[in-house]
Amino acid sequence: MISHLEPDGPKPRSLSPARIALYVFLALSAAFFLLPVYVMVATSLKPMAEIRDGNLFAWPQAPTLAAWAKAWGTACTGRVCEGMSPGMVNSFKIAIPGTLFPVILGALNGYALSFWRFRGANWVFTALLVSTFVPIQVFIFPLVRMMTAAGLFGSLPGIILIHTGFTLPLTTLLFRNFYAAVPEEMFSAARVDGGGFWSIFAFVMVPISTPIVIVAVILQFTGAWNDYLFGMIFAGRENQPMTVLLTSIVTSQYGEKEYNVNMAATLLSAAVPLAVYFASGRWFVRGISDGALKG
Amino acid sequence: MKAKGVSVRKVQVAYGAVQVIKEMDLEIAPGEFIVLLGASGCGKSTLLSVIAGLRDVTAGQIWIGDQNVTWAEPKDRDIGMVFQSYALYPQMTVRGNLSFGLRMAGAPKAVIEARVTEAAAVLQLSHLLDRKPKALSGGQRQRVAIGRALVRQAGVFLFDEPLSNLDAKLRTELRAELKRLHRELGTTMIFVTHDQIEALTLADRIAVMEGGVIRQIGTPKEIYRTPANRFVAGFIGSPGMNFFDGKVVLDPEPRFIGPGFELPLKGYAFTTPQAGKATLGLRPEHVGIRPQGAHPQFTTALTSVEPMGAETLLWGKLGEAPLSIRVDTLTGLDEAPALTFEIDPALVSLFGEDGQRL
Amino acid sequence: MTPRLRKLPAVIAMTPTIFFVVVVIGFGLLWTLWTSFTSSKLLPNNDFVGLAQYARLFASDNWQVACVNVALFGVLFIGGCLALGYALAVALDQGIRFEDAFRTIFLMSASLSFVVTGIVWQWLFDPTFGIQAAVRDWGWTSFRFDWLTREETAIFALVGAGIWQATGMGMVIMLAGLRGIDQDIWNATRIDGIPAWRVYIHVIPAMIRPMIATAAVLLSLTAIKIYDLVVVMTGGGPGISTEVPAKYVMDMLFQRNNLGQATAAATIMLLAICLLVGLPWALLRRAK
Repeated sequence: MISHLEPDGPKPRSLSPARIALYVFLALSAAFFLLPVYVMVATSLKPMAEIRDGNLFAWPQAPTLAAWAKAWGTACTGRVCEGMSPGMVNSFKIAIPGTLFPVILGALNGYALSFWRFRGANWVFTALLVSTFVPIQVFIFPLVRMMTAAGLFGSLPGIILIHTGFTLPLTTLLFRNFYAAVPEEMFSAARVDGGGFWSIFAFVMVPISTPIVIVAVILQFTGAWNDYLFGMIFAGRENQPMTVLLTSIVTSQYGEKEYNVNMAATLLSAAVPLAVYFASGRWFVRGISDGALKG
Repeated sequence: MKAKGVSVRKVQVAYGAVQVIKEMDLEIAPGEFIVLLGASGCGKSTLLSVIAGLRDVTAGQIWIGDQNVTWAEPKDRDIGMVFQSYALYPQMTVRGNLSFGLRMAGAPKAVIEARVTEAAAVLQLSHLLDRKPKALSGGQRQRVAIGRALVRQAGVFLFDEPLSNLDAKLRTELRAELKRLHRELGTTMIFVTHDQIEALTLADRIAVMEGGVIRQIGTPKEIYRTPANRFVAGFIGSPGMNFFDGKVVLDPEPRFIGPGFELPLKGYAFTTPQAGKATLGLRPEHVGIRPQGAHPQFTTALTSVEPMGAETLLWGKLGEAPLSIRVDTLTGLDEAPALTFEIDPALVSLFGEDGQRL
Repeated sequence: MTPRLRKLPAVIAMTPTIFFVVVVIGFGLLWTLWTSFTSSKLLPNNDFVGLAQYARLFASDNWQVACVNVALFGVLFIGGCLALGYALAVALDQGIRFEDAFRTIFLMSASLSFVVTGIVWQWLFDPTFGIQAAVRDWGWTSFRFDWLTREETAIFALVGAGIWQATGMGMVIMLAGLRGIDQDIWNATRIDGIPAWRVYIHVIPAMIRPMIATAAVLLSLTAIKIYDLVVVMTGGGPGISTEVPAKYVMDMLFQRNNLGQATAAATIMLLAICLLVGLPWALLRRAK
């Protein structure tokens, strides 16, 4: 018996059943989130014969990149057989300006709405708030007409404009909430020091905005990259992003579906947002904790 | 509820290589009101968390009553605790806050009701029972936090800077209330603060802490009148004590030789008479501004005046060193160009080279 | 400088946004609303027919199924994401080992598009090669995981895929809430001897209500607008069992060339969002 042991010093640690249950839960959850990705990778590396005969969860016996090569260069989307490769460039051409414009404008808007309460500012803010809620389907047809009238339908500037417009309310909200938490004194001090609208923005606000900029950039970039609806309707044949090409490849196969090619194509279109996420996810989480989503 | 003693035995707390509490012993008698006083980072809050069981000790034992609770869960230590941030549950009413712990412990409804009613009456919260914390003032919130500790009917109450989020007026009120509560309940109370006025007014005994050790423990009067070392002397009292570096000579007569002055030490109660380098401490309020001739006299020009309302701080010199003198504003001395004063050696403190009281 | 002149740069900076709000949002809304009262087919016309489009809309089987589906999907998807997201956030908040790794895994799928999610889960649900075949291959020969091929279960497959995709975002938002909780609250509950799981059920949700509300709003917007996932995973099938309102609008616009129906359906979607999301949110903001 050790019951006579007089408690002294630190409490002995033991792995309690609750602790074990916690880790089991975490492990199961991790499996739920990881398994589909694992299956995707494994399937993309198998030849079709092995997919037909083998087990979904089995690692390929002789991993091959053939499906990847086909998905990248020769898979057919309708009549064109160029694979996903044109889409990669298009997605970048759409997502990079589709990130920069809304973030820059959103920051300016948030700053103007938080500190320069001009007449009608509340009205603008309410309108922005409402527009984040409106389903995009409401605007599609009038937008098609307007874009056509402006000669932008099916063009790169057109799709970038669409992305900018429809994500602007969200970035504005993000930045407004962030700037609302900045002490008013900071702004007042800058005013006393002679700062105007642009100089206060550039020299006082921008330098403190890193956390929210990171959150906004990640949200915008992955959002623009992952968009399907706008790309399908407004991008035009020349500028189809990867998501649109991916659906075409997956849905336009005749005869037996080439699952390995589909999975490779899927991974190709997911690669960039995943890379962005792995590179910056930590800051994203920190940015959210720092109050980007409060209010 | 029966008051219990608390005994801290050779307790150490370390985070990695940083010793937050160095080997510490502290005996608290049942029913005693003890205040742990110190600047932030001195280890006082850590000590309280260790007593509460919210933090593990690195070595040593904690006893509450006649039980070794070193490894016991906080709930099994027969303690109640009040936090600086109140830590109220925002979505519950005052009644809900007071009763939540008992309800979760499965106490009978009648018992819960009785205890809540009693605690609310003691703390004058009865009319607020159905409000939520949001609708209460800071002082009322802190009463609720105290009430939550009361309903536990614990043998020991722990307070972690409970008044520091309140404004000065409320702080004074709640201080008086706590004192009354202690008188009525008779439980042991351990109170952490950095505010020496709180400590001096509330405590039966004060433990002055610095760098993870207790530098002195004693009654408020002892701490104020006979600080055990230079640190405590400087820490207690506001405005602070005047210090003069010099030396103590014991032969033929004990006297202190400072920069440009000499003070015979007739009447000073030495603990350990020792000649050599020393520091003389003199509180601004212990400068005798109406010399009777019984003690050594000095004269100084007054260089500046700091009115503090009822009292005024005058700045002059003792020998070559600056000296602050605290006087009643009504004396009119703030208008005077110079002042003759006396120093009663019984009121000064002397510290040796090691900082310990001589 | 007059105050108005001083604030001029702010107005100039916001001009593109104001222009967009007025022209696109304002004009688009009014145009859609008006068209929904006309007999427009392939091309818009101004032949006013009152509420006829709405009457036909609600008489349509596809629309009825779509409404039931989006409600079912919404409740299960939002509930599932919030419940699992909260559980994961709580689990991550226990000072566990490998916290960063677990969080990265849970959040990873949130960076993917619904198109990707749909294709992956369609593959997993494939009855001949997917999970069902794999488990039967292991010896459990009666195992069924063919939700996508059965009308009554296909919608649940969509819910599962949706939860897989969107839980991470809810988790991160709620985790931020948990991290903001005063340590003294935890100390107080430990003194009171309240087990942590009870605190997580009785105390914490009310304290992180703003975060839960934010997550719920974001998820409900996703749910009501759900389109890509359905198109890729089921195409609305089998039959019309997984039709959703957003898809109904798109089909009417681009395949059936029925502008009147499309705009009427879009208007109803807008109304539903205002009632279900906008109103509670506005009230919540006001209450604060």
